[in-house]
Formats: sequence, structure tokens, C-alpha cells
Amino acid sequence: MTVRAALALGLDSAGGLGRQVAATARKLTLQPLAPYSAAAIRIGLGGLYLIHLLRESVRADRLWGPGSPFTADLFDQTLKARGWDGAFSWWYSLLVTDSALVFWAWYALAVVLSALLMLGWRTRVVAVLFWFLVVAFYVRGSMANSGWALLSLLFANYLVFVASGRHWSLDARRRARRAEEGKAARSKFVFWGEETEELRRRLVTILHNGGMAMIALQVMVIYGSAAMYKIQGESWRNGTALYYTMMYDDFSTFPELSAWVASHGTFAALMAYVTVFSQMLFPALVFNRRLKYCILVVMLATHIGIGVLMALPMFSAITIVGDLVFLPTTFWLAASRLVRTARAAPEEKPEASLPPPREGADGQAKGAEVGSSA
Amino acid sequence: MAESVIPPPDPLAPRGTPLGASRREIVRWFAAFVGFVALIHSTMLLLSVATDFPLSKTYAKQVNGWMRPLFPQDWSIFAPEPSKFNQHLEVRANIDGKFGPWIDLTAHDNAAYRGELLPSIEDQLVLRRAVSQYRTSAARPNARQATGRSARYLLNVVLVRLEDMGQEPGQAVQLRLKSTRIPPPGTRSDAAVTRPQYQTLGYWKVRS
Repeated sequence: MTVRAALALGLDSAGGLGRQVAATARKLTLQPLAPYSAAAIRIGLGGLYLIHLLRESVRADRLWGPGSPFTADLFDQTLKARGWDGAFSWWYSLLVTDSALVFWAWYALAVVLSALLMLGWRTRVVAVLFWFLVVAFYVRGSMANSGWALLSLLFANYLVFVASGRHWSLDARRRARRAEEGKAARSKFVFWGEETEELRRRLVTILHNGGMAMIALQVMVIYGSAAMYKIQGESWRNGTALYYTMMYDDFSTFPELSAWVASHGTFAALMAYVTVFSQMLFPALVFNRRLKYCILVVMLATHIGIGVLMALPMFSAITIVGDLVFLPTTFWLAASRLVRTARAAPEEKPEASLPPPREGADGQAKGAEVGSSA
Repeated sequence: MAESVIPPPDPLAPRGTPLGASRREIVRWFAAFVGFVALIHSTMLLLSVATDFPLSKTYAKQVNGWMRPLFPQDWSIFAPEPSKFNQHLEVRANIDGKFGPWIDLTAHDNAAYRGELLPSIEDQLVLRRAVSQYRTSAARPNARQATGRSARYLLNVVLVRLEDMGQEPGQAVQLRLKSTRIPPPGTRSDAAVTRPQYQTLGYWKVRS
């Protein structure tokens, strides 16, 4: 091969790479990634926050309200010490009040917004309002914020940018009904013209894709960093770490069950290794179309274990919700079809006539996976 | 997994109709802006979890300024080393110059959520966090102010629990930490190993 030919080949492949990058970039402005995962995260976050608020309502006065040991005085000093008393201090101290009435009004609003977010009613506006209150609750409760509080805040942040109301929402239902009635959302076109509407949609898509990429990165960072912190410890390396965590009386819903696990040394050690390795490999494995299901199932199982045994159910649940970002649209469609089939009367089975799964036929849907382009 | 399912068209997605030059320019600039912010945020995110990384230490202030309070990161639960002790907070009240018996507050809170699949933060987290925050700030050499704050918070948390238990706080309370060693796996939990050790945390006047 002559030098000239090699150069030409290099230029050619460089051009090919450039075209590929350009095509990907273009797709990111045209196609919202993983809209079903976004909807699932919205439902999960809204639903869990609703459960959380209802569950804690008996203790809310002490956790965030006027009766909190973290008094208004202490709160103000802490805000100052952390340097958060700037332009947003009114927001951070939204829940700091002497009046039970004001506090419970905010609380009730938060309950309503969580429910509306879950249902997907005016999703974007509700997502912003929900985020606004979640931040206030987070800062007010900053003396005792669990991993659940951190994660719900993080996902609430990112959900502001994500178009999470496209599916499985009251918004989607209303749109479908309007479309059936024939009066598709025409008003906007009249208002600012079709080209500007197309522009708006592209900007919304860009924002959505950025938000989804950040959710995906956040989940990977959680697992990756948790694994990195763990492998520095002797007991995670020799496998006894899980034994100790099972022996804590601060972290056990059922002490007898935890003691039983702890008494099976080999099993506990195996589980400790599974924990470390699954967390470490997670950020890599989710990029593979098949292995991602394996790692997600492992994560699901370990989180159920943590949730039940270690008294951290909300943390486990929100982590599982975060993992959903990696499920492709094909999965969600297949799952919803399964649900429909199960719901339908047993005699009618139209799904049987569908063609069998084919390799390579998923080009369109694969583009909707977050992991493949994050 | 049925991979052949074709997603239904999204009625709100862009249609891909061509845009004029000025609007195309807006799309480009907006995409570049979102990409840039995403890049900055990703960098900050990675720096904030890589606590031992020299760059993270150099730019700790900038990273904190970006990440807090909206993007807190703390994923080091039970890592690098899970504690080898069970630690309970005990309190006794000084009532008219006479100390009452030691009361185990941690045991009280733990008992409140045993067997509950959905425990309240109030029982599962608040006391433990208050103690650890107090100990962290008390261990700092020049943090009187912070010690004052976390000490007052801990005292408030303790008083709330005493009230729950129907105990009199008296004029002052003394706090101590009871640490019980968890016997290493495979060893018998004989009395010599698991004899609790006590550490006095403080003695506070109760304002009435």
C-alpha cells in the first residue's frame, strides 16, 4: 500500500467517523431518548415521595416542622455556616416556620404534587413545583437526610429537564383523546407557526436527552463510587463486611433473620463479593444489550435484600427506580404488552400472531436506549 | 425479550422537518450549551465522588460550590470499613443533684421500628446521625461554633426522646456512648470480647 493510499484510507475513515458523530448529534436533537424509562422514573419518584410523605406524616412535625429539634435558630446558623444564606435562603428556609398551619399547608401541597407527578398531570409544571418543594424538604431535613433523601433530590433535579409525561400519564391520555376527537393541538401552530413549533420541539428534545444522560451518569457514579470506597476496606476484600453489617442493631428490621444470614459465613462472604463486583461492573455492563438485564436483576435482588433486612426500604426502592433509566423502549413495550395480554380475556390472544423476535430488527428501538449514547 | 416491537410514533417528538438558517443556528447553539453544561456537571460530579483525587482536593471549593446543596453525593455507606461496634447512646438525668439510672436511647429507637418494613426516619436515622455529627464536629480541633450547634441539636434530640419515654430530664443530662464489640465471624461471643466500653460525650444543662 502506498503512502498516498494509506492517507486516503485514513481520511476516508476519519470522514466516516465525522459523519457518524454528526449523525449521532443530529439524532440527539431529533429523538427523545428512552421516553418510557423517563415515564417510569417519574411514576416511581412521585409514587415513592407520596408514600414517604404519608408514612412520615405522623412524625413530620419533628422531622421538618415547628417541633423539630433542628430549631429555626439552629437552622439559620447552619445555613450561614454552610454559606447557603445567599440569594436562595428564602427557598431553603421555606419550611422554617412557627406556624403549624403554614407548615402543614406546604406539606399538603407536597403530597398533592407528588400524586400529580405520579399521575402525570401537567407534567412539566408539576415536575418543577415538585422539585422546588423537594429541595426545601431536603435542606430543612439536612440534619438527618438518608440516602433516599439524596437520591430523591437528585432525580427530582434531573426530572425538571426530562419530558417524562409523554407516556403513561394523564397528559398522554388527554392528548390521545383530543387526537381521537380530531382537534389535535393545533392552537400552537396558529400561534407561532409550524417552523417555530419544530424548533421548540427540538430544544425540548435536546434538554430531555441531556437530563436522561445525567440520570444515567448519576446512577453509574453511585455504583462505581460505592464499589471504589468498598474495595479500600479490608473486610470487603476478605468478605466479612456483610457479616458486620448484618450484626448492627441500628440496621435491622428482623434481627433474627439478619443473625441467620450472619451465621452462614460462606454465604455472607459470597454476598459481600457479589455486592462489590456487581457495583463495580455496573457502569460497564449496562452498555451491553444483554448483560444489562443480568446486572439489573442482580441489583434488584440485592436492593430487595437491603430494603428488607437493613431497614432501608425507601433507599432501595429509589435506587431500583434509578436503574430503570437503562431499560430500553423495547423492554417497556414488551412489558406493557405482557400486562395487556394478562389483563385481556383469556380466549382472545392476538399477540400469538406477532412475528418471532429477530436479530438486528431493533435498530430503531436501540437508539432509544440511554446507555448506548450516554 | 421481543426485540421486534416497534415503538409507536411520539406525537410530540420533532418531525425532522427542515428549519431555516436562523432557527438551525439556535438549535446548534442550544445543543452546544446543553452539552457544555452537561460536561461541566459530569466533571464536577466525578470530582466530588473522587475525594482522594488530588484535583478534587485542589478544587474542593469550586466543586462544593457547584454540587451543594442541590447535588449531594455520599455513597460510602459501610465503606471502606463497616464499623466493628454496635454503638448506643445512653443518657442519665440529674434531678435535684441526684443522677437517675442510665437510659439506652438507641435501644428505644430501635425497638420502635423492629419488624416494620417501612420504618420512620425518626426511629431509624435521626439519633444515629445526631450522635455521629456531634462526634465529628467535637473531634475537630478548632470548631467551637460547630460543636455548639451540633451539641445543641443532639441535646434537643435527646430531650424529645426522654419526653417520649416519659422520663424527667431534670436540670442537666449526661450522655455516654456504649460501644459493644461485634465478635469477629466464627468466634464465640464470650463476655470478655463483648463487654461494652463507655465513652462520656458530655454534660449539658437543660434549659427549661
